[in-house]
Amino acid sequence: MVPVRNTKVVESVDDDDLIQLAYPLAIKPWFGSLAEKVGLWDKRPMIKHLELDEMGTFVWRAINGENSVRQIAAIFVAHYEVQPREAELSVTAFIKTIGQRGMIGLK
Amino acid sequence: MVEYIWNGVGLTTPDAWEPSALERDGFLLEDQGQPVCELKWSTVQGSFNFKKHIKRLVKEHKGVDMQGVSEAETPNVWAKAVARLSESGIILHSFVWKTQVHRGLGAVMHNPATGLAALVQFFITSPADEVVAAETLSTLRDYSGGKSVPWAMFGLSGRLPAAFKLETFSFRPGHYTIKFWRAKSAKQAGKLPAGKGPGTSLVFQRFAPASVLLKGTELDQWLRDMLDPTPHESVPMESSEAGVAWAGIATKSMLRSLLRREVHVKGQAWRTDTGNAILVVTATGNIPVTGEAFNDMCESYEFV
Repeated sequence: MVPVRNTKVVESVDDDDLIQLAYPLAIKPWFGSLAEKVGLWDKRPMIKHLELDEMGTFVWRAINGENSVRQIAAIFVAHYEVQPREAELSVTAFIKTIGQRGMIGLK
Repeated sequence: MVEYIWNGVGLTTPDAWEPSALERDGFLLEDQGQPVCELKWSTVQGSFNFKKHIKRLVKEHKGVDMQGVSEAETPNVWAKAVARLSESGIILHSFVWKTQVHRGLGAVMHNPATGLAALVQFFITSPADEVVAAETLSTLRDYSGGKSVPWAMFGLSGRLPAAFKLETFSFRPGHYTIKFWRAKSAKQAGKLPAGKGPGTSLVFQRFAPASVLLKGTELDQWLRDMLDPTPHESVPMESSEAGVAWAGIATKSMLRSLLRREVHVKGQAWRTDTGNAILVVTATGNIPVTGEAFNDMCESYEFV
């Protein structure tokens, strides 16, 4: 499985070289129409922000549309010298989390 | 080859095998997501009835064609491995099983010298697996009878006095913890659960990656902030090139002193040269561990 970044995610880098991501929030249609009716939403996309730590930044940079999850875990092992199994678990959990937020897709 | 030693029992396996399930008295090994070997054990008092245990196995696995067999009925390499292991005093009885999809080869074992009773089985998919299974079987070791007991799991190893018994453990990404407990006396160890009553708790921890955890902070400060339980503030920490060490009485009062309920703490933490990790060993309890014994345990704690 190869993770691919959502093109609508906007990336910025802070002074510590850590990445901050801004991504549009997926709104459930029933909630959107309800919020619109009561005047709580003007149909503009809601943007959420996510600050990544050093390891999150590292993994995000490794997501280039070519590296598979397994390859990213291997790159993580080579860089941080952790054990392959724990790298696989960590990277998979991170990819699952950002995938649930719609920041990446898997191909 | 990798040696896994857990709670007194060791097995050397091919490099690709890794634990997928770990319990106090057993583990399951997988190779690329497929189960290859299961080992379970317990300690029994007195004699051990092999026939009874194999019968129970057969009864518990209805739908599986399982039967105890003599060594002559097993593959030649397996019979040789059984013979080699028998030389160490361990008594083995082999069994085979098969389903429509899988087949397996295993043995029920008993070491009369220590009371260890174990069951090991290998999942066989080809004749080549029988050779690997036999080679692995012959590496089984019972360390439970020694004065000190080694352990080796997930790339870490250590050695500690046999009086310390495995209490709890967790291997989460970034943080491994293995806790041992030594009761004040063997009599109390049998009566009270681990961690209760007078005794000493010994904890081995590994934090990783150290390069991230220690960014912008010193090891002693990181320990004060992050270690659980936090080293008591009244116990001074000594930092050196080798790492950080602390020893003292964490909780002291006249009453505790009179009742001999003072809590003695010892700890050592260091950043490893390889593996980008922080290793921490702590001993806490009202029965102090001698400096020499504690140093020996710390020296034995390393990456495999």
